Amino acid sequence: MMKFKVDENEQTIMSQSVFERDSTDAADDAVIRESINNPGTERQQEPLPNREEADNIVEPEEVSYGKLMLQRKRAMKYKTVIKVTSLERVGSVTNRRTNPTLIFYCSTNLPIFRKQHYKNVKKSYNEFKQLSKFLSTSLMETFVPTLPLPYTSYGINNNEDYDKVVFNYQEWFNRVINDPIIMTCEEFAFFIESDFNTYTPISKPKSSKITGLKRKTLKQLAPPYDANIELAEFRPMIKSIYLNLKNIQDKLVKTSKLKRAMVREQNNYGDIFTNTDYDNGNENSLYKRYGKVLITVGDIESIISTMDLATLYDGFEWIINDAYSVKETLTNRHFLMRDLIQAQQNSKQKQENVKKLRSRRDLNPLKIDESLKEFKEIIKYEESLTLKLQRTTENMIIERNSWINWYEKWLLNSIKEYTIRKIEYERKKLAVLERLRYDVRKADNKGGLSRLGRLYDDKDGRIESSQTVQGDSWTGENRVHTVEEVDRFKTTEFDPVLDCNAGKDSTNVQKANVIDEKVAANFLGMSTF
Amino acid sequence: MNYEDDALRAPVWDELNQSSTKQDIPPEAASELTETLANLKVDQTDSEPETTHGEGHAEKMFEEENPFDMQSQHIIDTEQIKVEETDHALLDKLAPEDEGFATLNTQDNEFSMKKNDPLFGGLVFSPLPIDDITTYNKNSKNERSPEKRSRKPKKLFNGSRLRRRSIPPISKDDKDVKNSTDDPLGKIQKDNEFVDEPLDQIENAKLRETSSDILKQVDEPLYHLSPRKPSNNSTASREENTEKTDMKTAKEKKLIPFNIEVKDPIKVGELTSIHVEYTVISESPSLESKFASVTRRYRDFRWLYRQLQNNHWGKIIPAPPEKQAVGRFQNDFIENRRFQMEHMLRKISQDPFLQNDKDFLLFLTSDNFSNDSKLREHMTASGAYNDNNDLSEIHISEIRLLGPEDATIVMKTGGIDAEAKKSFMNISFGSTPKYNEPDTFFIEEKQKLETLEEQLRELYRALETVDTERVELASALEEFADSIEVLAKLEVTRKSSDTLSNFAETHKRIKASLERNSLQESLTMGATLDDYIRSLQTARATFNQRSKLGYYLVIVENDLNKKRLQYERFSSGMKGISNNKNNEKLNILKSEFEVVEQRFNKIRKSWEETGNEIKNEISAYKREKVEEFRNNMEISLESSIETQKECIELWETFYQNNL
Repeated sequence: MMKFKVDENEQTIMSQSVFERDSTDAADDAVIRESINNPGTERQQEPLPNREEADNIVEPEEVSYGKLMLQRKRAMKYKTVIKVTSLERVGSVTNRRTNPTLIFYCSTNLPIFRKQHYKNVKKSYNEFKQLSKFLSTSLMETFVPTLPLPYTSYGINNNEDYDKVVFNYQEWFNRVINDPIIMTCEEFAFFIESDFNTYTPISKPKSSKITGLKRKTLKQLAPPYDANIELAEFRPMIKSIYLNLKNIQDKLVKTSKLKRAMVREQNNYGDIFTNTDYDNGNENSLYKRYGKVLITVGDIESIISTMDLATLYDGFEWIINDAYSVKETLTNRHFLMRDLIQAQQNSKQKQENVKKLRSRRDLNPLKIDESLKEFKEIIKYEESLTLKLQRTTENMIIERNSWINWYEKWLLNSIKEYTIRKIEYERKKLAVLERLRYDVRKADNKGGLSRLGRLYDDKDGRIESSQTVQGDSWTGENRVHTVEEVDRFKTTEFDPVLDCNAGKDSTNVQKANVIDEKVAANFLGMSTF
Repeated sequence: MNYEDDALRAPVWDELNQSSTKQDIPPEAASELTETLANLKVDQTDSEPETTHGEGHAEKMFEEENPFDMQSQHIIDTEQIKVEETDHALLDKLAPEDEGFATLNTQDNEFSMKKNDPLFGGLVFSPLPIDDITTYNKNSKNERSPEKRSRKPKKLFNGSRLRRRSIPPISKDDKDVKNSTDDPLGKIQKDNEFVDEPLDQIENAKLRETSSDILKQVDEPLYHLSPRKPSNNSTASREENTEKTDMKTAKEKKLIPFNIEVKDPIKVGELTSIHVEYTVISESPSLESKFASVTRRYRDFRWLYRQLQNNHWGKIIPAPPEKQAVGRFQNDFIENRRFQMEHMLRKISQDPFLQNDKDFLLFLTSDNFSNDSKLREHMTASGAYNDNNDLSEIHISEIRLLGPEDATIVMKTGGIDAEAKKSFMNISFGSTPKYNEPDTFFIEEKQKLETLEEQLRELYRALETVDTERVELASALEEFADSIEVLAKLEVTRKSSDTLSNFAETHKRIKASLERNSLQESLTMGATLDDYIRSLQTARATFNQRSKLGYYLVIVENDLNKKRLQYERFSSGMKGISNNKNNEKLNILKSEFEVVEQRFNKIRKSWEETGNEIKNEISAYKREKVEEFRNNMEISLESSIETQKECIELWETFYQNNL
């Protein structure tokens, strides 16, 4: 009884709020906030029905289910811009790593915000986490983007990591901003408006997830019949994306580990090469240089393996986390469907009851009243569930497409980043190897082309590098590099090692030895696994 | 020869001593025996009896032919002696005449020596199995002699005879070879062959003759020894000379082009005898038939290596592959081995001295290699089949060092250093003589070689592990690409799916390129390092040869001093008193001294020559190796540059097409 009233009440309020929002009067923001807040608090006082589904019965948004599209449309009118400006890592080592602070700028015309502009908003990762947790539990009908990792495989304390994390959070904000359901949730405004390190979810989660053992058990059951094929197919697809990406990640880590092992061996090889006394005096420097180059090449290879992880692994990691949360959200929809089916069965039963009572001769008006009441109640509940499911389904269909778009974009982005890094470092490797070429060749007149019976041409004394501003010598493709690019290929972190040895500068040798693989790894930070 | 054998030998002697003292040979039986033996020989050689040959000459030829016949000659002699002699005093005199037997002073002991021979034979010479069988058959002819004792030596005797009998095929082969190569050594070989026939008759004649004069008989071994010595020396020096001229001419004359291929490895045999046979095809004007195709197994290549090592002291012989290749190159182990063996043969054929080596030619052409090789090994006592796994370990052939005759004597006593070894067994003597290299060049060079080898070994191991890791990485990349492909097949979106499958494809190409690079690396740096290491071992072997010779030199020098002292003391102590007995003893001592002196000179000569040869070799060797090494370094570098370009190109293409 009460409930219905509340619902009606709510409905009016909600519609009012929608209406008011339509008017876009910023001054009424407070009212809207109140109106949104109220149903939650009111619901608290409600006597809850005894059935298990009780939790799901009441939803404040119930009223606007049918008006989802309208709501989305309207929300789209508002514009919010969030720009992540910087990242801070402070405090203890673990805190620096796992709880960085993001500083961003926010500008919005959404009425739920008090101000239009927020500058230098500081939020710690833990706050982000709380918000994310709240959103994902309370907003059942949308795929709330998961948070990107607070650190990267580059390790912390380097520019790559800084840029990457900032970029990732920017991407997260972009996704959040583009989701009207999240944006109309006032909790997001609370998050922005709260002081640094003080945010905790203010409103209670509006829906409670089925959790723990029950969730696990229910997941084992075959999913209920889904009339919507798109969504019915979406969950298994997401699941296999999740599994496949995980598999790829495993393989990538394995490759990376093996690459490191290979690098270790290669460095060892180069080391021995350097230290071997070949007993032919003047040529020893050549061998030393050869060994050094081998070590350098190994070091570059080890950087590449770090890059592999930082680009591909981290990129996939977010997709994986997101896919998991999407999958769980879809599971929630399944639970909703299950609830609905049960409610439908219930209502049928109640209807039977009413019919039975009617056919009876000894009519007890009290009884009839009661069963009618029950029947109406269940019908109402069924309706609300139907609406809720409908709204969820509709929203999910929209969100599904945007998620897939994001997936494609992010996947390709990761691969692109991976490829660019790879090309850059493979080019460096080539440049290092080519530097050695001349030394080896000049060692005697038998080198190079003379082995093939051609003359050894030594007029310019230098063998042209294959990568120049004009492009790559080995390909017909017109691939013009800028001077900076070429310079970048030709300089590595390891140049001091190579150069000092070429000049046989003994004072530099010590310094050179400091830059070994470990130091190289430190350039990039520690690995994450 | 190891101590275990010494230990075994001792009790055997004791037994034999007892038995031999108990029994006396009935003269008739012995003469019967000699007669049958003589008959046998006639049968074997199928020649009309000629008895007119000069004894000494025959002997000499005989010795040249085969040390074993000389030994058997000894046996016959002593048998004769035993048959005819009853005077024990004479025996006492006789005993020291056998100079080699410093420790054995009785006739009985000499007998035991005979019995002991098979023991030796098992060690120094591996008798052919075929010989054993034939020996057995031949023995059945002698079955009528009732005494066990007389039969035993016969068996031994026959054994050596029969072995000789199977020589002709090889010498014939050699002759063929020599004809084609104009090897001066071939002449000696031919001479030997001619000797072959009359020998037996001479022996027969001698046997008959010897029965007449006991004293002469007694003197005979001595007598024969000394005139033989120079002849041996001359043959030895002749050999050396011819070798020298050979070298010189070889230096002057152009390399005979050789085209050698090792191919078609085939598994042969069952279970325990399973092995791989390779077909060796050679083409060269220096081969009689210009072209030869034979099957050889790994063991034969080892044999060739040892044989060449023995034939050319101080020369760095191209090394065969290691007995057990450990590590990653085992994958295509046979192919690898084939490649290495081919490399070895080519290297040999490119060396002006080695390419004319008769053992090399034998190796390339012989159709009955298992027999021929054993014979050659036997004749040169190179120990080529007692092959040590360590390429740097060497065996100094006494025959090559001292000439066949002296070597036989030396070998009977268990090698030149027998005494040193014995002293070690009994711990009675003080320190064994030590050889100190007088020339620092050798010490330093050897040290350098050793450190370099150690370092290269380390390098090789490192390269191997790099290679293993690379192969593992390649397979991991494959898996990675596969898992990406699975995701691509999901077709979440068209574009992502296309990109992913291209991504996977690129990874697979990278993987293939990585594998190619790895193969290239193992073919260039890996093979070079491996070759380098093995050749360092063989280079070290030459140093070992020198130090071993030096060691012998020291031992023989000690011996020489001892003998000289003995002789001088005796001759000074004997002044005035001159009777027959003393004179004889003086003579014996003198001849002993001379023998040892000659031995000493010979060893010193080879020692010096080997040293010079090493000095010649080592610098050329180093230059060659360094060049080879650097060439491969460049190849390896160039190939990794190319791989790198390919890799960049793959990624660039992927980037342009998909992103």
